[in-house]
Amino acid sequence: MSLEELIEEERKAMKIIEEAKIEAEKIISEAKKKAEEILSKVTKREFIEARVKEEEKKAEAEAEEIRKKHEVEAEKIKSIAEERIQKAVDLVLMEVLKIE
Amino acid sequence: MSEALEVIKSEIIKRSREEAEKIISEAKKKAEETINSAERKAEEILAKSIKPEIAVMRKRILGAAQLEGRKMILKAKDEAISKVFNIVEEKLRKIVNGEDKEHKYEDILFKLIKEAASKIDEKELIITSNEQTLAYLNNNLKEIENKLKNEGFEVKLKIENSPCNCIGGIIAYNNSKTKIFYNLLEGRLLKLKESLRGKIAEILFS
Repeated sequence: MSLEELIEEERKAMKIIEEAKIEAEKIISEAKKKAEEILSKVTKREFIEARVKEEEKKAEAEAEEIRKKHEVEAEKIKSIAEERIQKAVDLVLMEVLKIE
Repeated sequence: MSEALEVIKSEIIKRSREEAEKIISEAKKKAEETINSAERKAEEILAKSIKPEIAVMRKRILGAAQLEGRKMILKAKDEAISKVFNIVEEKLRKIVNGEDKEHKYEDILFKLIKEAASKIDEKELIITSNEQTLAYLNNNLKEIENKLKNEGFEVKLKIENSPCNCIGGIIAYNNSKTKIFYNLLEGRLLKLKESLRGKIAEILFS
């Protein structure tokens, strides 16, 4: 009676392992399928276009930063101190009136 | 005996469950590696195929932004430099109108005539200018001639009474008009616009 019970239990154990192996195969097989999908997707036109679009957006954002940086610099130039302007005016006037 | 059997039974199930968990966990790990590897490979394929296209696109977009920005800065600098020249022009008008206490237009005018006499190097000079200057010259011609003589320029001055539209200064020429010397204030200012640009930029923006 006890040996039979042990054999039965062993059968159950083997079943658990078998089921796990089936599940593991399923996991691996799904992963392989997904990997194939990933690899096939990259050669598809719409995916490439989407990626280019994404990179374009990034570049546009960088371009906007460049524009802003230049805008700040231009604003700085526009607000030159009066004394600098006066110094430049004095120089030009002196040269205009520097008559041989 | 029955108790020992139960222990063995439970041990068999426990070990089989552990083994099953190990199998599943290894499978998950392998699956993750497979997907990661595919993603890496996909990224490589993608990079290879669209890298040149992206590089061209980035160059176009960023290049345009750089150019636009540089234009913006150049425009701001140009405006600042123009502002300086506009102020100088306004100052010259004030000098000519006698509204500037630091500069006397009559003295400047004499120097401009003397320079013209020196450059043209003739016994007779014909001079023209704006209405206001011509009026002054008509009234002070002899005095100016004497002053020129004192400085070594024996020259007879004649006034061309057809005024030109200018801020001040003179245009001088010989009788045959083969030698013409433009010594107008705005002309002198215009000449300096290019030559002084660097110095002005240094004063304003350095």
